[in-house]
Amino acid sequence: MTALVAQRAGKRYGRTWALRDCTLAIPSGRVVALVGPNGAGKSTLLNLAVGLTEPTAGCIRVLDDVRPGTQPALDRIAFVAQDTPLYANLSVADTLRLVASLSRGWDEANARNRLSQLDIPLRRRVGKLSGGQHAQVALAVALARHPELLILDEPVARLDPLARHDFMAALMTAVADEGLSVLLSSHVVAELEKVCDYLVVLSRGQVQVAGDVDELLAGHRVLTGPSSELDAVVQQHDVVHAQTAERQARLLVRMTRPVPTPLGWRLDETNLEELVLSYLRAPQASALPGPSIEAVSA
Amino acid sequence: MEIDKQGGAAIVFRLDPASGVPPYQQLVRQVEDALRLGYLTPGDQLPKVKDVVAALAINPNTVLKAYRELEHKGLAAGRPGQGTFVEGRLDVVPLRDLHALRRKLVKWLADADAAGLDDESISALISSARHETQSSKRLSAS
Amino acid sequence: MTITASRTGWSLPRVPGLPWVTWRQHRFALLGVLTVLGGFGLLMIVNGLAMHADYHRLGVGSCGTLPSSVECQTGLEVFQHRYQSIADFLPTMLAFVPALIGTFVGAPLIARELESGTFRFAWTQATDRARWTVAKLTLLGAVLAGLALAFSALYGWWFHPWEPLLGRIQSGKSYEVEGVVFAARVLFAFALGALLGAVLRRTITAMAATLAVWVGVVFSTAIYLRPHIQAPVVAQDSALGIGRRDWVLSTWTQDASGHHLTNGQLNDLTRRVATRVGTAADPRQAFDQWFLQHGYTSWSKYQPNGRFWHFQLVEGSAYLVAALLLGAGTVWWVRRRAA
Repeated sequence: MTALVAQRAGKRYGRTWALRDCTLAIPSGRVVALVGPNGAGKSTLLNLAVGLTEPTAGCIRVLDDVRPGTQPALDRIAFVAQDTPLYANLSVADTLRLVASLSRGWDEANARNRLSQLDIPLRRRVGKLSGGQHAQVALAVALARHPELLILDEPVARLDPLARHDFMAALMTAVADEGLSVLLSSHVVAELEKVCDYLVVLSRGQVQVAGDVDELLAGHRVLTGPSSELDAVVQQHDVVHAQTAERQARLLVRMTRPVPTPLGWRLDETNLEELVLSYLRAPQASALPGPSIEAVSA
Repeated sequence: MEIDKQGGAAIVFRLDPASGVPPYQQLVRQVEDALRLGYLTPGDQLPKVKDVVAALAINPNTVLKAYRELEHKGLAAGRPGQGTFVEGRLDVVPLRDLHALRRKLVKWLADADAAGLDDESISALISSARHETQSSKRLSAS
Repeated sequence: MTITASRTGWSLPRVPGLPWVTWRQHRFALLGVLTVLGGFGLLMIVNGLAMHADYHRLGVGSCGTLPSSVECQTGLEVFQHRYQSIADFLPTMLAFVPALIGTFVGAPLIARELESGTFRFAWTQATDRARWTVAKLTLLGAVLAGLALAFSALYGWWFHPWEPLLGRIQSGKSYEVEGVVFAARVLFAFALGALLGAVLRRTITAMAATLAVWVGVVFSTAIYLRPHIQAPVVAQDSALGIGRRDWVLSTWTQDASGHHLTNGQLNDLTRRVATRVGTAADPRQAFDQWFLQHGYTSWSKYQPNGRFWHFQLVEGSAYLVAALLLGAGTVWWVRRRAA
């Protein structure tokens, strides 16, 4: 079962392509991180996935061949947009009622439990909540719909560290409880490694990296050694990005085939942050799964 | 003073984001350390997955992976519907082997001192060598 | 931690889904509309009760349109002295109320969601955004239409004493408030506001644009299209005169052979005749006699007061159809081009 499949999807605004030639097959049951710098096209991709906008080129399907924006998609997918928009002059209780009125499968007890555990008063107006509480309310109403796929657009970007932790803890607990698929975008990579198990890197509107985190980390290594031997080593390896100083060079290498470590060089594992940053610094490089995505009915 | 109870389990997990060690490995190590130090004994229940997730805000699969690794090492066993419990013990290194290793270490330290290394250089060299050994051990296992 | 049920004070019966959402999000706007209409309504009730009482007390009703007796004339003069100014000024002022009401409720409908970004929340729940839009447009439209029709009916009661004297078909007066055109124009402004709000994505800009377009359309239809709803009656002025109740489009004087006199010609002629009869015993009667004897007749082209309902229904339907088309356009725009 797939959470999201895109085939050469693209979106153009005026003359700029915000997203271009995007091909993805994201499996379900994962916590997927969508990373990239600002303006890379993350929000555009998410807007396409929830049906707020239509692709200019290619196609996008969610949850095994459902078209975004259609009733089945709306029923089964919940979205928490950037800055977690809610109606500021509604009370928390009214917000719950609003979502209940617009939804079919609404679990009122679930929402109330979650909010009471966080000590969020139901009668307070949403505009008067703190940033962290506001985000928790947005998350609670999304989760109480029991979606199969939860999509979040930079949900914690503006939260303080404690609120951020609490939000992610609540999200991960829901994943543990219900096994829902999560697709979340972020431009802060540092804290993603403990949360996501599938990674998509977007850069300048195109997919640069897409794959299981464990597989990606297993398939990349860092080589450290003397800069003088740089050229020779580069020839033998699939180098994503090289950082060179006068004496020492550090290369992120893609291990497409096993190659022995050059003498005098050190081979290390890498971590998610280093991997993402290296790819972002090397726009030409890409790490994509092979061409084995089945054709999707248009 | 605020006290957060991480469920009713015997130990508390923490994650060090700067250590360079993958999260699931850190959990495995912490259980092994707890066994060594006596915080955990066979029969104790490891923290529930949901509690760990709520406390650390990590992916539940990471916790499951750590517990599976512990099972694989023979240190823990899952009981369906109940949780994961400690089993087995860590191998203790025989005293005779410890002595032999210690003698080799003392000799090496004397050589290093004779070569002109100061304390900090020795520490750096040891860290670097340990790091490399651990990396290659993980690589050869994967 | 106990979960408290959050109902305090008065509680409404549980209203289902989209109607509750619509009410909750627009209750402020609807209350504003109620205040405006209620304010004017109260004025009409207070003034109307007094006016109706005086109407009967002074016996104006039984006097007919051209009072003959002195009693009637005095009674009419007193009545006019008290109530004519408000009868003249109120309908002209009320004519703009549909624009304000419709714009105030319609323009923010979609624009506010787009402006504040809440559309990303509202349109990703389990209700399709086209359905959301249709529900809001129909529910609010029905409420606005109902309030407006009630208001027009109240106005009709208030204006009733004046109807035999002033008629209600004249442009710019009671016609704009009584009947169904008032309500149809409210719907027109509402739907126009909703569409412009969706397209322009800014509430204030949409409000301004809606008012501007509404004024343009309403004035043009009143001036250029309304006279042609039905072919006007062309009739010669008789001694009784075309009543002040009718909507006179134009008047002219014809000579014996049927030529229309231009204003210039008429002025010349009037001056010549005036000097000629200046010396007569009754200059006024001599003046009229001269024109009669020389075969001059005065004519009017007008719409009779009795056509009021026909005109109202035709014009009202046109605005209603326009409102429906604009509403459909809004739904289409939201569906196709939201984000």
